[in-house]
Amino acid sequence: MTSDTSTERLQPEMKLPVSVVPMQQATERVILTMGGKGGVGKTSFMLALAEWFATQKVEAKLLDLDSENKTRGSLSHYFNRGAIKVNIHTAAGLDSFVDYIEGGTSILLADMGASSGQVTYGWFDSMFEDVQALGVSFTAIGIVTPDPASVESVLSWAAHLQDRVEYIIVENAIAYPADFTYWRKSEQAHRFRQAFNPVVLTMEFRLPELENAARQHGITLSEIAERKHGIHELQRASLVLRAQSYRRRLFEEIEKAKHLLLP
Amino acid sequence: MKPQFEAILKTLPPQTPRSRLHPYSELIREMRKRKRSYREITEVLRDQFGLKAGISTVRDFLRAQTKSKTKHRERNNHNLHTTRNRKALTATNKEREALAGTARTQKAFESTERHFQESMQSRLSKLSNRPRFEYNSEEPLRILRKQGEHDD
Repeated sequence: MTSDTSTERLQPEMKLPVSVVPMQQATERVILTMGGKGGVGKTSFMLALAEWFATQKVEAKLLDLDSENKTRGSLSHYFNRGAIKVNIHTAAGLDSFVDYIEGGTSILLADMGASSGQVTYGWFDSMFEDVQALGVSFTAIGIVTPDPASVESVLSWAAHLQDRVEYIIVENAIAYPADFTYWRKSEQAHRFRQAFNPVVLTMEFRLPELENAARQHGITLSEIAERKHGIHELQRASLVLRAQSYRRRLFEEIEKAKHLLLP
Repeated sequence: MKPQFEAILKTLPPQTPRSRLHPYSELIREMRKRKRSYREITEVLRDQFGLKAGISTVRDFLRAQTKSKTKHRERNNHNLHTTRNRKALTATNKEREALAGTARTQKAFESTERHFQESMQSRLSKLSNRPRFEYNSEEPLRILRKQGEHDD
């Protein structure tokens, strides 16, 4: 019996020219936040995403590339040793993506920090084709808030990354009620949506007493919802119930973008 | 011409002149050559032949006559021994085409085609290299307004 040559052709380690490897044959996925604007909720969403992957029984490696947030608010703060801190401001840039993928990880969750744009653009320009040839696909997550600067940041990233990534946009309601006029009605954002057809998810407004306490202590939504922590102020039944309903609705939203999150 | 057509033409009555000034056209033309005014011409026609004609009538008649003569002369121009006509008769095909402004050698055709292809390639290449999304971070975000909606 002869071996299946078409299967052999698709082995990721065989480094074929980019044009020969279609996107649907990607076996690994890097999911990265579009940094640029700080405090929009990138890490909060990545935390929820990490927990969603856990519920899907899919192993995802967490990379904390946010060099600005040293302690509180960073992915490492929440997951302690579960998230790997990576300094991208070196000549190697984002090469750690390749190292972890070669190490057998199929999903990489990369939380990019503010001011990581130039490094990321440069890395994509020089490395994208070769990494894609390994069977790696990319999903970029942009977080928009009522602040126009958050929209501008996402658009700047998209103008550099173009169609080398697939896009998920999260409307994060950091205020109540939230007004997303600049994202929903600006001409530039309209052109972006037309060009890349991103999946748009909503992240509802969370009570500050829950959100702030969770940040302060590095507790995730699931830990609050399941009372898996020793923080007294987050044990209140009303907050636990809130956490459960926030998590349920956010996971429902994430399900909408499932095809852009799994390899 | 067919004998039948010739017979018909012979039966047709002679065409009557369109203008009553026609019998005097020679006189009128000669007087204009001798720098006589239209007014003087109308006076001669009235005094000598009892023909009443306005100044503008005489002028229009003379213009119509001159125009028809010019057309006739242009039509027969190829018979004149001008340099252009001589060349048209004696030149090679290539020279005649050049004279008429229509010279297109095979090389010229190939060059044009090559230029067209290159231009198309360049345009297609520009289109394919063009980013799908362009954004100028220096420009503020512009809110799209519905038709009829105005700033306060």
